[in-house]
Amino acid sequence: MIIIDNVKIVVVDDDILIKNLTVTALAYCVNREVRSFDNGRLAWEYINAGGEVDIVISDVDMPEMDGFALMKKFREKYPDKIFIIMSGVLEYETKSKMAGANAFLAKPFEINDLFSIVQYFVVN
Amino acid sequence: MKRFGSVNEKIREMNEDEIFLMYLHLLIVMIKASLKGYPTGEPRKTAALNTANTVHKLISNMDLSFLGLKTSSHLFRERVKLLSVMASAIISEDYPLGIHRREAVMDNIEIITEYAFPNKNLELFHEVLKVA
Repeated sequence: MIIIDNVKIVVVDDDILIKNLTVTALAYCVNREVRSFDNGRLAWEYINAGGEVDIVISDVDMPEMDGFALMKKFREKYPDKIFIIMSGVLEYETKSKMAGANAFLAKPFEINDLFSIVQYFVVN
Repeated sequence: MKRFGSVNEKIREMNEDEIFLMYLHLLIVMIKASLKGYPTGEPRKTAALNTANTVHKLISNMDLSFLGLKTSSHLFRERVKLLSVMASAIISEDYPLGIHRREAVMDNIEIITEYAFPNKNLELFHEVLKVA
């Protein structure tokens, strides 16, 4: 069953290796283009300008605008859409929950975790 | 809040060795899915060809000591390079894929999996692959 039809995913991470890998894996999973940005500010400019998005998967520690600041702005504009924090910092898991993230993706993650995210939020 | 990824005790930033293994894992899943006939649209085809190219590029210059291989690292490296070439051929659908080629691909995947992912289940997410 498809939960989100023609899903639009945005990946935000300043680590280009992780960002490219995540984009490639998710694009394969959902068979759709996946957009990506190097920091929260660039992602927010796209989203705030009306860029299509159903799910944001964002790192936390990035220049110019971090993942929590991006999530706060995203929540104000789209309270019902999905925001997933990914991080290699343990303390950010509790902070993600308190800030209203839909999910926390703990680094280092695996390909199966990305498939599981799509299975949980996009198809079921 | 849902949770995915490492358990608490193992949370940390990712290194290049882990990223290479993720690409290799992804490539194997893509080949298996292709051989099983799951739908392949343009985004999937592009992602798979990117993955094959990236795996080939990464392994060409990697120090493979982190794998603790019980075989020659040169042989393993060549097997992975061969797999990326096989993947490009399968995914591009530009070349015929007979029973012998299919067997050669599966044999190569089996041996690479044995060395690189000895205790891991490289499962195919049927619901994701068939619907998306």
